Amino acid sequence: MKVIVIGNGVAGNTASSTIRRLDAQAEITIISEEIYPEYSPCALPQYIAGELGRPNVFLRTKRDYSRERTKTIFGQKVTGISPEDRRVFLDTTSLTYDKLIIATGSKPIVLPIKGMNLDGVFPLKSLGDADQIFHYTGNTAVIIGSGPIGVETSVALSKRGLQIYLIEVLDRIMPRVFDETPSSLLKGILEERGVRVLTGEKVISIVGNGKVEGIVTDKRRIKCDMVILGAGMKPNIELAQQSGVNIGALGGIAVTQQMMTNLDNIYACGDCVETEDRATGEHTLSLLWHNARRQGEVAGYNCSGVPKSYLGSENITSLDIFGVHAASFGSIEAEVNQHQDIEIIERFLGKNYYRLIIAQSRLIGAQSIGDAQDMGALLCALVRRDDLNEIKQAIDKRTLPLNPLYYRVARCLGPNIRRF
Amino acid sequence: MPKMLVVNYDKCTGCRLCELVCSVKHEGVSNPSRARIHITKWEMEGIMMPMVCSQCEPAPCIDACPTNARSRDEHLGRVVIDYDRCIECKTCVAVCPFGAVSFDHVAGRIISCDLCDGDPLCANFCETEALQYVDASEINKRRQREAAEKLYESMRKFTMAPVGLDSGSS
Repeated sequence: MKVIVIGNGVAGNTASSTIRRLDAQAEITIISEEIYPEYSPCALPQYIAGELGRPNVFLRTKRDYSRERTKTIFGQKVTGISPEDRRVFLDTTSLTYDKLIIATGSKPIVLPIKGMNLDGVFPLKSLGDADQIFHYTGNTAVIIGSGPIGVETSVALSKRGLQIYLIEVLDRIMPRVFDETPSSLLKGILEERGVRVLTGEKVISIVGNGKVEGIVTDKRRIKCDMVILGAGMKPNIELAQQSGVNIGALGGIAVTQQMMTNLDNIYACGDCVETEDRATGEHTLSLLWHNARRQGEVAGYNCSGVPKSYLGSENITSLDIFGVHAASFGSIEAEVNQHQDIEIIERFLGKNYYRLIIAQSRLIGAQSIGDAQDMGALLCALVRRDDLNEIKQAIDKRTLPLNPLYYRVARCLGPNIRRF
Repeated sequence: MPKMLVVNYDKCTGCRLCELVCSVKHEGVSNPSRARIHITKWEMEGIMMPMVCSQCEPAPCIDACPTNARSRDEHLGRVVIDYDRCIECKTCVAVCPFGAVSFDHVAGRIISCDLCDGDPLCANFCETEALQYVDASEINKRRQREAAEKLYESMRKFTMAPVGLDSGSS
């Protein structure tokens, strides 16, 4: 069986490793636009901060690929796919396949701001971007967009000694991951360390003569030497779309639970696909490492003839902000349908904080700052759609043998479960 | 067959000796907050719950690690960490269903049970045998025997027949 994998990220590599594990004879080729062996984009902020050496950003070496007998074509773009001939086209050549796995990942969302082409304006997606940011000299950086990547980059560059401005158009930082209260707590931690956080502010343009000299928002002008674009990622689907692959309503490649596209023998996995949320069943773009990894595994299994189903994406965020651990699972209150009856449990315990979002006796979201030891048990309850009332009853009546997960979920629900 | 660290939840008395010996062995100090095992207590109900890595397979912490820093050591049947790769994002801490992974603020690194390289000290010191390091196959047999004895007891009460415990065999 000849397999071609387009994309060298975690989805593509997990798919190819899975196929190799199941099929010693398969001929596997990974094609990537980038020149590097597999690396972790999640490690880039630590590299930029100077905390992680560049070699440790890589997950594979050329030797690892050859040990797995996986052929690689790096630094070349796939210009087209012909599903009828089962052929992919590169600049100067073409290759045939029996199975094709599209793992083209995602790319930064480009904002309609003037001045994007000035020197010193960087997206942060690839190792190439990170290298440029790492070596760029400057005193002040503006980061547009306060999602987890924007926040991690602010922390990283702040540790390098730059003055940072983090600008977010909505009213709080990490607006899709944290509700107002935890978001303010995290904003406080950033500000304590000298990061200037501006929420409810929109960047109109980037100004400078050849290189960045400043930015203009709807409220002020800020002098700076560097601008990082952190406005989110969207699936890289052009190649698939041109080839007749169906794209879903949210802009990601439409796949079945077996990671199959609408075209025979063509699979897709990773940031380029849209999936169902495991906890809610809703369609979602959940462009996260662990989802991409698992999708790659499922694609690899099915490609090799072993049936496996993807159970859905899990919305998990975890980051370290100047030594404080912030984590969030599932939905936040602000994004829940207003008509739904929801209950919020919110607790401060010393330096720790957590917030549970409960709908119809089921946990649909959890956020924590500080000690996240109980979050894992809550994640299980969320994903399994456990009925929290049943958990409380099982504990009160001791109808089940001691189940540590139930106890740990229950203690987050509060003292009201104990009756003396 | 590799051995497993088995937790018998009903036998834990909350003495926390396991936490002390674990921190002494790994960190050279007697500091329960730096142990790889933690006892969570519900004092009023008398429930003491040891929280320690179950060496899961597949492990949520391995699946979620964004730099492949966590992996399985098949020889001892445990999950290990490559500190060169770890970026301390603490996703493993957040996703572990048992809260068994933690961040040691003193040493500045992620910690979880490594089975003391094959001779877990906590199991050695646990007087009530709430923690045991046993052959994996032995656990099944033991549980079957325990369940069978309970069933035997209830059958005995119903029938009132004078039977000795040794006439059962397994």
